[in-house]
Amino acid sequence: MSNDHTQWRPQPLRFIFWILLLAGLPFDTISVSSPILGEQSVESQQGDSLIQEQVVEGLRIQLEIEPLDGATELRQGVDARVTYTIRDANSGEPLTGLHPLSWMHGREGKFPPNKEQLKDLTSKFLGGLISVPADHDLNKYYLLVLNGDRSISIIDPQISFSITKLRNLIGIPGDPVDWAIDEIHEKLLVTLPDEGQLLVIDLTRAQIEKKIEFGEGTEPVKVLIQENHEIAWVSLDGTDQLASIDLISLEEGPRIPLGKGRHVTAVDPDSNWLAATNTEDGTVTIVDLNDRSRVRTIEVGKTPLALQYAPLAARFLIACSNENRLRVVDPERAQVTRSLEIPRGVVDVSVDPTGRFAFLSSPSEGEVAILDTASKKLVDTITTALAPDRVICTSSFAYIHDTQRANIILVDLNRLASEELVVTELGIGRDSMDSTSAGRQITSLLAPTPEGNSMFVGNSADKLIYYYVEGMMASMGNFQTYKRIPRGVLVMDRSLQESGPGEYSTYVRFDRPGILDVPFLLDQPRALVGFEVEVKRDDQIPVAEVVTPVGVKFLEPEDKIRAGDQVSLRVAVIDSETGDPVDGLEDVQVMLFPLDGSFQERLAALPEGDGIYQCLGSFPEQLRFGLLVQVESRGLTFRNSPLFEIPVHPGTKK
Amino acid sequence: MILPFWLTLILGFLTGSDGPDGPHPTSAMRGGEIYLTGKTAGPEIRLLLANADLELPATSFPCSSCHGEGGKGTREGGLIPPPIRWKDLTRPATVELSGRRRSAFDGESLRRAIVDGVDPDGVKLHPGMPRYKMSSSQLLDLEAYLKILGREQVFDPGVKDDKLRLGTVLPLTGQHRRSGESVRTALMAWSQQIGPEGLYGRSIDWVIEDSESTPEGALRAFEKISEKDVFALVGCHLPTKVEGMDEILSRKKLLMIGPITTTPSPQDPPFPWIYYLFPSYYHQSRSLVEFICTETPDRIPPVALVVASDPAFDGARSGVLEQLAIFGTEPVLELVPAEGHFDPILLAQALEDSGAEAVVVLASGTQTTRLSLRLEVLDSTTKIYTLGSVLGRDAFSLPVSMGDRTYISFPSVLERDRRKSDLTWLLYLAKDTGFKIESPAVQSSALSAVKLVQEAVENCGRRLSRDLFIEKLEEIQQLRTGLTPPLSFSPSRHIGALGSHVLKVNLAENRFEPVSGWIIPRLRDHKKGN
Repeated sequence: MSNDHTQWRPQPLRFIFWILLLAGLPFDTISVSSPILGEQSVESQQGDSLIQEQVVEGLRIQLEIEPLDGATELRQGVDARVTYTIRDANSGEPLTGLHPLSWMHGREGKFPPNKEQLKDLTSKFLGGLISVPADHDLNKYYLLVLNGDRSISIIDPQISFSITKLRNLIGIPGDPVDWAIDEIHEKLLVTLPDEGQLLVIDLTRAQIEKKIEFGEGTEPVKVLIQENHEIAWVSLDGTDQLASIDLISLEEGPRIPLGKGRHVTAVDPDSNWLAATNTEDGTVTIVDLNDRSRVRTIEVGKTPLALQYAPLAARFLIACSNENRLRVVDPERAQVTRSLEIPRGVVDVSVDPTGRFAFLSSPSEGEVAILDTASKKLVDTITTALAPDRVICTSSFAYIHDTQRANIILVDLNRLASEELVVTELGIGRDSMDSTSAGRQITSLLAPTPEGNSMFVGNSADKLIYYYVEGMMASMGNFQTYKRIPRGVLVMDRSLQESGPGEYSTYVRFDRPGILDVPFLLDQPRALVGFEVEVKRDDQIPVAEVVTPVGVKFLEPEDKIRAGDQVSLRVAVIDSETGDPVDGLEDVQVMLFPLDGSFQERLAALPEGDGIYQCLGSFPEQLRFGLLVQVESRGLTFRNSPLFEIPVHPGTKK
Repeated sequence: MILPFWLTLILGFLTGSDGPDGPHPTSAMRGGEIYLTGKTAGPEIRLLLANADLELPATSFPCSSCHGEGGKGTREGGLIPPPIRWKDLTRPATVELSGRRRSAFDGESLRRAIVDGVDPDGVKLHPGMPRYKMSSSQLLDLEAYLKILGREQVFDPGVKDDKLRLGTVLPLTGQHRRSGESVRTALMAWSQQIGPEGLYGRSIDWVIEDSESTPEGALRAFEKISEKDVFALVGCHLPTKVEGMDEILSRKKLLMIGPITTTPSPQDPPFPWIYYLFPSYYHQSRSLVEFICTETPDRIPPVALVVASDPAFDGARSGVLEQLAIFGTEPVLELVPAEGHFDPILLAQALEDSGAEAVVVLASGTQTTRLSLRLEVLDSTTKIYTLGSVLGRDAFSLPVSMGDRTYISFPSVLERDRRKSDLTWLLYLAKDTGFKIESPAVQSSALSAVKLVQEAVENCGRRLSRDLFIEKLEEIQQLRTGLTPPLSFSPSRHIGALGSHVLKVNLAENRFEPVSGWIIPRLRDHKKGN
């Protein structure tokens, strides 16, 4: 298996197809509608309307922007849900199973783009080059890796060139144990039990936004985000409480008392019920999320360690690791409705996407039992894994993670629904998945991609993230972690996904005011449509007119930098006109990369005072490195930054 | 009455009023009556249509008629009634028809919306939303119901907390009682296997009515069973034609799944309350013509048609003519002897004189055999095509020389196509319950029908409702029961196995030989592309 220098990327064919389509075909073969052209556009309402519609090629394409703050207009600094609804223009039938592409980009002239300009703009965005990104790419997703060295990597797996896959590396001030992603608000929540903190990372800026303090000894461990993205729940194992965090204000709400022990939590998809296990008490606490004062506790057996909600059965499934029983709990009545025998030592319960089957993983017994939640019977047991600890599903397969082997086991879910067990085993990597101690971390090393037919598989022994596409007999490639041990992988999906029949949605944060041009591209039938969106200025946010350009200077470290070092990097930011140091900047970013172009890191630099900003850079190899600085709020970008070269010397022998 | 019974099944869980005697009416239950029917105890609820100076009883436009029984909203006729579950109401939302944002509702603004037709911002609601006149307590009841709407314990007819009640109509007395009893045995075996834990905690509870083996008895049975709170009728064994059955199903919104002995009539769109397993004579005859016209590449043989005087064959005759038309041809001869005048000598001679190389015979098994004997006397080389389920055992009374030239439709699964895994569930059924197939034809159909129901219910989950059941049923594709060809349904397709095999009669070995795969007749001429 080659490492990261392979020239591949996920989802290439879709983009290549579009590039060929736009570049190679006569433009007349694509139906184009843009706001100014109008010839194929009817019922087009543009600009400040939150719902716009265009008809082209027999398709009725509606763009709806829903500001999440509930406002009736789109204002600067607001997150919004962006939804395209595509229907047959004649029948009104929603068109499902499409793969639309779209972007939003600040208008560069006064007028909307004409046919050719719209085509050019789209071609540029389709190229996937980092040099011409759209302001908002509605087709992106990122891979997040929780590393064993107290850091989180943000990787762009779709970029064409391997040199640019690692976008950011964020340092974590403590040992993380669990994490959860709020894709709507682009926040990553990380628990730091030893610090008594929940870390909130703003993924748009790749920097720590807030540390929520629970207090000494509170031991926040498990973090869970409600399906409706309103509240995050954090189990405080030190004080046996459940903390609630409002995801908009990021303020803590009233705590809910729990029983004694460790706590695992689960919420139903409608955000009606939350359950939390209390391992020492052998109980489960059920919280009515519509009336949080309605908290009930029921006995479920010894050491309830694994918990999941089975949506079709509308029941919580609770496995007790110190006895071979699974309890089925009706949250409405807070009653155990069924108890059945399962393998001993189950530590994880996962439910397939249909909600029908549950997978119960027991590493100690080397078994994964499959429960049919309709009949509440175990329909099969898989015994080929040595120590299965978790199952993660795509729409077609259940992936069994084995901590003692470099293999994953795939269970065909379609065949399972037809009462057939079809199991495939694949080698992913060279060494067993988790041969090094994972400590207390409870994050998953499997993360499905938004395409739905592939999986990222972290291998802590190999220190790589493998990319597996269903149907292949081996992984298609891998991502470097640069000698960091991956402890968890997650996907932050910002791409348009079908959210209902004919509805394709994602979330966008509109940081800057102004008019955005919005190309929308569809393959069947081929249609390119241009919308426009106006983002109103928020008077509370300072106007950019006061901005004066800044200059930067790299302050070289006093000691030689050696391969393998982590070094504090400091840059001075000065006002270009006055030469005075500029303080108070919140968006100073540093890009660090070896000059051979093999990778890059983007680091948020924090203020030290006197115009000095610092960040922690890693120099894993003896190469010459380059350093660029970006301060977007003051007009300095990586493209016009001066390049600072940093030599790296051989590492010291240990 | 269905709805009052249904509403008694809304448990009083939220108010904790469940007593030992069962649920008492609660505010939410009364609100449920208002939502679903537009009426409840107390003063009559009236409504005003916004753009018409017209006052009507609320029963003419209950909330559920536009917003859906589950409160998820609908799309109909240019109107887009929004979702009105409590969590939808209490959030800001974009009004889809106007693109305007509205603020979140609370109890007070909701009551104003219902009575005065304005949203929380004081903006008038779309004129499609009526203004209702109801008492303060009725408004509070409706609000209480909206707070639980969409949550689990609002049950449809036949759906109870721990039971799913299915119904069937079988001939338990009269001429077909043995056949009816064998179906009953199969259905009981299936529900026994499902067991007390059931499907998502609901065991199967059967309501069975006797058709007395007559159409009149069957109609009485339907009237009775429609009053007995059943979720759906499954595996009914009925006389060929039961006048009035469709009307009862429509009136009671009662689903019928996999009736065993009735075949679908060619309707577009299909009759909404029945889902069939097997195709009708109409579809089978089209498959036969498809086979005739494609057996020899680039050559369509001259085809004749013989139709006995029996309304049962009307659909099949249409199928033959329509499919021949798709191939751009028509019968060289169509013979429709009057009732009591099916004369094989005259018919055979006419067929020989016509030069037909293939004849589709839509007649009883005896009539077809007699015609075949006469064709043999004439040393005819004409091939006979007929409906397998009509010819039946008479096939083995055919003259030897005609056996090789007689083809039948067979709209079921062939032994060669049956995967061992498809039959696993039947093996378990036999093992778990001791069930043995005694009447293969009817029992297989009944078991296929319950298998189909089981699949749809399993895909619905605990929150089973008729609407969701229909949605999931119509999503089923290629369901392998082992006893039927793979079954597929959609909103426009209510016949699971659409098409037919064609078999040849092998008189030497007294069996049928498949000569085709599963033939789905084409809908239009592919050459013309129209």
